[in-house]
Order: sequence, then structure tokens, then C-alpha cells
Amino acid sequence: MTVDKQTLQDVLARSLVKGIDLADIFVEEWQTMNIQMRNNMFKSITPAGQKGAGIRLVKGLETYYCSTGDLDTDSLMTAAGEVAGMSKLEPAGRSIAIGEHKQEAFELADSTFTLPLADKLAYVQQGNDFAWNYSDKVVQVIVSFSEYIRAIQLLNLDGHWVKENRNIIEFRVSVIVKDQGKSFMATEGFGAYDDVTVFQRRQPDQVAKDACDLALRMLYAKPSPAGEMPVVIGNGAGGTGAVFHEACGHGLEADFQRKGISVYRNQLGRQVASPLVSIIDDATIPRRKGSFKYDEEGTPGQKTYAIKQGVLNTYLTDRINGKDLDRYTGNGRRENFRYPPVPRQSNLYVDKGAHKKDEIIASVDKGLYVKRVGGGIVDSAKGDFSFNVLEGYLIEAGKLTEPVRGAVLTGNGPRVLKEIDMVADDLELGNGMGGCGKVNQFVPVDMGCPTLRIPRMIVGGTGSK
Amino acid sequence: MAELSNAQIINEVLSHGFDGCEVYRLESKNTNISVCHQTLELLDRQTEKGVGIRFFKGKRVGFGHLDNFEQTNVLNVIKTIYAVIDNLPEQEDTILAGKQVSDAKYHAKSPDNPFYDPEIESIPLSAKIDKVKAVENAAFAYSDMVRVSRVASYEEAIRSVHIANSNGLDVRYLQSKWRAMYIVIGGTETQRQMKTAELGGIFFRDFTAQELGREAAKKAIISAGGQAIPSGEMTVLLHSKAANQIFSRISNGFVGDTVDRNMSIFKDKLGRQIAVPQLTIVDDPLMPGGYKSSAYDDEGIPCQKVVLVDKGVLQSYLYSLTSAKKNNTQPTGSSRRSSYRAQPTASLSNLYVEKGDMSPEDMIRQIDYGLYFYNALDVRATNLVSGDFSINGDGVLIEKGKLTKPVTTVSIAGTIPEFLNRITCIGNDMTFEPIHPFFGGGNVASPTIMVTPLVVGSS
Repeated sequence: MTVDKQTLQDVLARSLVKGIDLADIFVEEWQTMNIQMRNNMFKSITPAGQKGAGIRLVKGLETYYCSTGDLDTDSLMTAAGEVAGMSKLEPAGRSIAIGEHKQEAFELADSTFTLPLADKLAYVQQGNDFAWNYSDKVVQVIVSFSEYIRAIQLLNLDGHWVKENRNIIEFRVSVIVKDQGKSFMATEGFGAYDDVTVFQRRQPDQVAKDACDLALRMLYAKPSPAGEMPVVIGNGAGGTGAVFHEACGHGLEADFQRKGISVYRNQLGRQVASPLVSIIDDATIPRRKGSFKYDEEGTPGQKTYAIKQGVLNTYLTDRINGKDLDRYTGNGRRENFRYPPVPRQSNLYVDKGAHKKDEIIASVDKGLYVKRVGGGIVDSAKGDFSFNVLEGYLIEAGKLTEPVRGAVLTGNGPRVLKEIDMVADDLELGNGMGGCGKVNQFVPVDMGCPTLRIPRMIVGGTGSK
Repeated sequence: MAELSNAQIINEVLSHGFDGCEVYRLESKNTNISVCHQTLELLDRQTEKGVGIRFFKGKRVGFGHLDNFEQTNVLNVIKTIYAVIDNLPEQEDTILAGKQVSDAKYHAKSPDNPFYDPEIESIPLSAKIDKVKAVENAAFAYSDMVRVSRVASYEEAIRSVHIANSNGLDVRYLQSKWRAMYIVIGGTETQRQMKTAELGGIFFRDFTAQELGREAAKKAIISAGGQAIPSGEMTVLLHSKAANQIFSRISNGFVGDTVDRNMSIFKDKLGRQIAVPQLTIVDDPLMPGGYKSSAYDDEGIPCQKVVLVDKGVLQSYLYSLTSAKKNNTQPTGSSRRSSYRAQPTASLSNLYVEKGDMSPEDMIRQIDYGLYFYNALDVRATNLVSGDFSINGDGVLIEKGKLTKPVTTVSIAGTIPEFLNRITCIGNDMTFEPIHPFFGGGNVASPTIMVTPLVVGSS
């Protein structure tokens, strides 16, 4: 890290003005490598680097922010002077004493990512070759590897100094299979706050095989029935947690509450979901993509019960929006030094219940089992959502029967949470392939849920009921 | 630490054994303002800089990017690319622009530079903040049904771009760009809608705050208290902003790079009638004050006005250097990058549908029974390969020439050729609107469009 402690202190002190509630300097340096294969060829091998600092002054709900891509002392001092000037407040003329010093979030076996580039290329090649050789129905294979090696540090007005390494590895294999005029695209992979040992736990061959198997299974699936029916959402291993992240999680973010946008506005202490439903945001789970020791304004990452047995317990807060609620849940996150933090989810999931998966499936006479979902859209003012079902199966007479394709789940977040009537004990988080965008900022997250039943839901599809 | 100029970077690249190289460098001073319920939520100023480097070795092309120009970092990227470039495929058609040196006026902070507002940097921040607040005030003054602001925002960038390559190309340009956006929630207490309106341009004086606020307010309340209507074929009047969204999406089918990937229904349709003779679509990157206006494209080729569809006949695609070479034609100066972190590809600039004669009010009067489709919710379900589209939205029912009942959760569906060939009337109104790249991109303007008939469904 090229910015030392003394410089941080001096720069932050230069920015201080009278009457502010909060001030911090956030510094980061990161390197990335993206590798992609397509059409059986390497398409891109792109190294990149970024560094910079952002200085923030907060007074009530007002934020003054200045960022720079230069980390030399002169540039930092200039930015500090500029942000002080923007606030139009009188200089405070005080210094910052440093209190605590924390370092290293999670113990990574190889936090330096010393894996040679040739090995990374070999992993990608391995996934590619496996998929192309797996079936003659495979007509396209896209394999990508990304790594982000990111070091951040933050010093705030209270002298709280935090340093953390945030390293993320992503690997995915997409295959398109075609037969008899039908085609299907499936993607498998993972994204994790992890080191290269992740490839021992999840080998490229296996990822490619899973993608191919899924694509071939769904290729011949018949169209999903449409209409109102019971829906069983499979556990989060298939990315199904996205439904709750999008349709409920965003409504729990404290800025949406404060502004009166959230469907959960002014509902603290009220029953907003079935008593079977607890929703937890947990930044402390090792190796997960949404995990962190400290959020990007220095508050420790936590396990937070946002909804406990159906009762709204807290919103997810940052420093600005947590003030009136008198609660800091460590959800102040930013994509990078260009942005001030806003309330964001980390790893949000529906907690496990007491039912068994088999028991839930057996309870449905005729319905849809949703194992995997893809992209969705949510209208956050209304809580309405729609998600494409990437992998779905019919439930007939209490048994999973055949795969169906093309189903679209539509519903209303708050209503669905109230209607959930069975929750299993098989909680899983997702594979970390997704991320989350809000106000132009993209942050890594994970999400999850156990198998659960929604007694009535509108399923869009092209088949008959 | 030593910072390298573009010429020095090119020399370093060539001396490491590459045959050619292109450097795209951005230096930008950005200002962002966010207001919510008259509170200045964010005032943000940043200096942004970065460089994207394309490396050529034989027919292989590598790419790397950095957010600084420091020698050690640049050398690190050069060495990494050199180590891997033989793994990359040969690319027959990817070439560098030929020698070209830009006119100095395009890099000057002077009134001679048509792409720079000489006033924008001297207007005080407080005046800009007041204008953002005025957006919000205009919306709340418009109707009691405007309920909650999410954010009113203004982004401004003073961008200096320098593109150089090993063929001797040396193009520099300076631009000012601003973009304002308002997200507001309106409707009844139980039926709320969140809607967005956007504006963008070069000259700060074109930031019409009242108009932006009212536009967002109208969008948010137009279908308040509405219901679904029976499905069926009917005349659909597309509000100009909904038409903007749809033409942004469809016009991606005119992008040469999309056509080359077999991803467009307009492939092999040059010279053919693809729409009614009333329809003319133009892409004009030289338009005065346009949000996407520029003297040069992002490979250094001079920008030009391109008539894509002339009286219903497909005249041209938008070409980057690569897609032009692949199609054995000249580039149209349409190559753009989303940032220095991305490689160039052809995309829309300021795209518009030529106006007709009739006012939207007169168009409504002509319709006996139909749907005024005011807001398009999500145009991504418009498939440029199959041509099918199905777009959710909301609006107002038209009966006997009058707007009668608000309509929510409605969709319009059909195929792109049906849509283009069933246009019966084009209005005399239009406003340019920057469209998010996620939905199609470009700074797009379409008049109000009447289509007879389209399938209307309740979604």
C-alpha cells in the first residue's frame, strides 16, 4: 500500500470542517485479470489495474465527496482541500489520532494470488475442452475466469483505521446445446471471496460437466404450464435466493425506508412475513462473495436478523441512514473509491425451517418446482417481481416428474413472504455468480434460501395448465 | 513516478516486439449532484483518468487497461500481454486507423469548439444545484399525485480524449457533457409507480429543469388508478418517450458489429424496403449540442451523419473499422467505447426518427378505439434475432378520439417487421433522451408514433 498512516492522517485532517458528523478517507488499489474463451479460442486475456482515494464529509443527510486516481500526497491534499471547499463550512483545524488498527479479513491460504498466468489459462482451457468433448449437441462454449485482487484501507474522523484485502475469484462455463431445431443455454460456475485453492474444491471439469448436463436436460424439456399453482422454490444452490434478494432485500435497505420508497417503510416491529420466515443478512460467512470484515465505511460486517419470525426487526443501514434508527448493521458499501457508500446487502438469505424437502414436494398435488432462476426484474415501488426459471420441474401427485422450460415466476415480494407456508431445513447459499447493482454501483453479493413452498403463485409460460 | 505520454507508450509497446499499437487515453473532470426532497444528498467531484491499449502482433490483438500512465504499470501490462498474445486468435478484420491528425480547435476550450460549452465550467456549483432542485419542484408542482422523490441528479464531465496509434494517428478532442435524471414515485397510495426521465447535452443552458421534472411526473401518474384492458388487436399510439426506448433497442439491429455476428434481422437487407415510406431514421453524431455528439469516434475516425433508413429503405449500417473491413466498405465513424476499459465497437450516437406533420393531440383525435402506450417498462424482450417483441408498460385508453381510462399492466407484442410496416402516422414532436446502454444506448428521439394494429395483452 503506497499511502502510509501518517499521510492518511494528514490528508483527512486537511479536509475537516466544522459541524460535520462524519468524515473518512477510503484508499484502494486493485489488479484484475479477465480471461475468456469462446468458439474454442481464447477471446481475451485482459490485465488491468486501478487505484485511487475518495474523501467524504457528511453533515446530516448531505455528503460532500471528492475522489482522485492519484495517490501521491499532493493529489490527495488537493482533493482534501477541494472537498472542504465544496462544503462551504469553516475549516476545523484539528488533527486525527489513530485508534484501533485492524487487518486481514479472512485467512486465505494464498492471499497473494501467486498462481502463474499459465495455470489460469490452463483452468479455462480445461473447462472449454471438457464441454466441447462432452456431447456433439454442444454448439458453443464460453468459459471465463476473473480475479480481483483488492486492498482497501479507511481512516475516519474517530481515528478508526481499517485495512482489508478483498480478493475475489470467478469462474464460469456457459454452453449452448442444439438438437432438432431446439437450443438451450446453461451456465455453471462460482464466484467467491477466495484463493486459488477454490479450484481444488470445484474443478473446471466438474463445472463444465454440470453446465452441459443442465443444458442437455433442459433442451428436451417441454414448455412449462402457465397459470396459478403451488410453487416450491428449491434451495439457494440454484441461485433461487435472488428472488428474496431482489424482491425483499432491497426493500430492507435503510435509504429506501428513509425516503419512503420501500414497500417495508414504517413497518418496524410489525408482522411483514409468515412466522416461518426469518431473513438474515450475514457478511461474516467465510469464503462467500458478499463477505467482509468491515464494510466500506469501517463498521464491522455482521449477522443481522432483518426479519425475525415474520417480524421486521431492522433495516440494513449505513452510517448516514442508521443514525435516526440508532442502529449500524455494517451495510455501508461502495463499488470502489469513486463512490460514497450506500446501504447494500451482503449475503442475504431466508433462514432454514423445520420441514424436510421431500415432505414439501410430497405436499403438492400439481405444481412447479423451481430449482434455478436466471435474471429478474423488480419494481421496487410496488414490490412486484418477475424471474425467468432456468431449471424447473413439474410436481405431480407429490413427486418431481419431468423438466419444463420457459416458466416465468411473477409475484409481489411482500405478499409472497406472507404466503410462504413451508420452509425446509436445507438452507444453501448460491454459487456467487451474480452481483448487485444499485445507483450505478455494482457490489459482490451472495444470496440463499432453503426449499420453501408458496401455496399460490402466477406462473407465466407457453404450455397449458 | 514517471508518467508516460501516448507516444512513449507506443514506443515501449513497439520496442517489446509488437507490430502495432493504439492508445486511447481519457482525462476527465467530473461533477455529480444528487438532490432528494430539496436536500443536497451528494456533491461529488472527481478527476478521472485512464488508458486502454490495443496490441497488435501479426493478426493477433490483445487489450489491457490502466487507470494511470505510470511507467512501471504500463510496462507490466505490456509484458503480460506479450506473454499471452500467441494464445489469442487471429483477427482478419481488426485494423488500426490510418494516419490522421485532428484539428486543434476540437481540443480547445474556446467557442470554436462546437463540442464544448465555454460557460459550463464557470457556472457556480450552487447554480447547478439550484437547477437540480428545480427539477424536483416542477414535478411536485405538476400534481398532488406526485408522492416521493427517489433522486434528482446531474452529472457533468469535461472530457479530454487522446487517441494515438502506430500508424501516426494523433487525434485529440475536448468535450463537455452533462446528463440529468429524475426518478420519482407517483400514483395513488395503494398503486404507486416509480418512473425515470432523463436529459443530456453539451451546453448547460439546454438543461431544461422544468421540462424534465414535469416529464417524470407525467410518466409516474399517467396510469394512476388504472386497470387492465381486454386483450386484442388495436391501434396503438406510442408516446414519444416510449418510442425512443423502442427505436433505441431496434436500431441496435443497424449496428454493423451486431449484423456481422448474425444477431440482426436486418442482415442482408441493405437497399430493401424494411418499413413504411414515411419512416426515416438518422444517426447524427455531429448534431449541435447532442449528448452523444463528437468530432471523432473512439478509433479516431471523423464522425459523420448516417441515414440508416430513408423513406423505409435500409440505406446503411453503422460501421466501426472492423465491421467496415469485414463488409468491404468505409467506416462511418461510429466506433465507441463505454470507457477506456472497453475495446471499441460500433454503437448509436444521436439517433432520431424524422418528424411528421401531426400533433400528438390530433393523432389521439383520429383514433376511435386504441391504447396510448405512454411508458415502456422494459424493452429488452425485443429479440433482434427472431424479431419478436413483447413490451410491458402502461398508458391510457383512447375512445372516440379522447383519452378515457388509465391502463396498467399492459403489453404490446408482435414482430419488428410488423411494427415497422404498420406505422400509420408520425407526430411532429420529439425530445432527445439518453438511453441506458443496458436497454439499447444512444441519445434517441422519436416523435409520437401511431401503429395500426398491434396485439395488446394484459401482462
